[in-house]
Amino acid sequence: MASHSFSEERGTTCLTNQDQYPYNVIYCGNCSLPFEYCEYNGPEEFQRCLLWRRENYPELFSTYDESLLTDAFKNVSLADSLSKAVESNNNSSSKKKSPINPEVVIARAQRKGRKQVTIISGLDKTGVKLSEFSRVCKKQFSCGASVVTAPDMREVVEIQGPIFGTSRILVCNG
Amino acid sequence: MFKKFNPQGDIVSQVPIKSSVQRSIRNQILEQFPSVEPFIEDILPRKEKWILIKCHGHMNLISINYEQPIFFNLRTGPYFPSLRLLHAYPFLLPRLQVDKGAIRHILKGADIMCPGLTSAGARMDEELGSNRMVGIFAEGKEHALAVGVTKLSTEDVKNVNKGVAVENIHYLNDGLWKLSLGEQQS
Repeated sequence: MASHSFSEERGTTCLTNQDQYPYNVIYCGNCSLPFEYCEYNGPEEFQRCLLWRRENYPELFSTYDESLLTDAFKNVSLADSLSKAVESNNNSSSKKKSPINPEVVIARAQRKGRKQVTIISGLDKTGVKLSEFSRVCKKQFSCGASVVTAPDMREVVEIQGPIFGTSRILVCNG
Repeated sequence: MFKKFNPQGDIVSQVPIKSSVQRSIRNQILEQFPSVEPFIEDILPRKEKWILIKCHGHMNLISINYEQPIFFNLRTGPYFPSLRLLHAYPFLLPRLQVDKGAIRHILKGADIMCPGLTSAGARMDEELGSNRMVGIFAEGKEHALAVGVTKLSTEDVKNVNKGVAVENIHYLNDGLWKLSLGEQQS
């Protein structure tokens, strides 16, 4: 029942100007939802929503909200918690890209409309010549294939058309 | 409907709407939502630039000045208000209230099942037929969390109490909610 009183409490506060339309609904700057739906964002995100609310709308930040903040988040600012989250993300991704076992990623990307391309990245680390590989692809799939530079300055092979299944076999064999 | 909406791939074109077409859209919206008449100039200002955003699946969005879309429709079907508009003008659609347990699923895009509308926390104050546009509100919450179309009349919902009652068209945090046209422009 705790969460019920929670929403009741806030439902009557100045979230909206009740006397006239349009209602001026305040959305959470962290998750873009109205405050009352922040709690459905998953526990950690919700903590960040609460922090945002404490910093930007202290008048709407009730003591009940305060009690929802876990100890880990109680004394940090929103920026701190965000940078922490980014950090932990970076750590996990850098682990994945360990140089010992180069990873070849076959991805699909959407071009204009429903047109799709297949992007194979990470091949440069395996010692396969990219231009060579794209030439094989052109023959194999009878479509355009080229070496392009990805936004993160890595060279990737881009093949026109959605051909992940067959291209996977080719990569594994080649 | 907007669960897998991807602005990069799904938007086909963005074009300004001709003033003659604007007039017919405005009339259609007034016909659909007579209660909105006193505010029509605020919602659809005559002087501003209207943008029609065509998406895949014959979806059309209407935006003013490249702001968040305020109406959308399928082919030439009726216009649905976006949730932001519904938040500002909650009287636009008849309201159905679901119980607390259903919120989680609706925010993931699930359709509204009958039991969610008949249990203790839920409310169906109005008698509605099937195929009606409704706003989905929730127990203990002030604002709408979804826009849907009834699949059963409220009468049937009470009697059958099984299966899908309201199809979820647009919900909080779906692709349309997150869509930001400003980024598209730049």
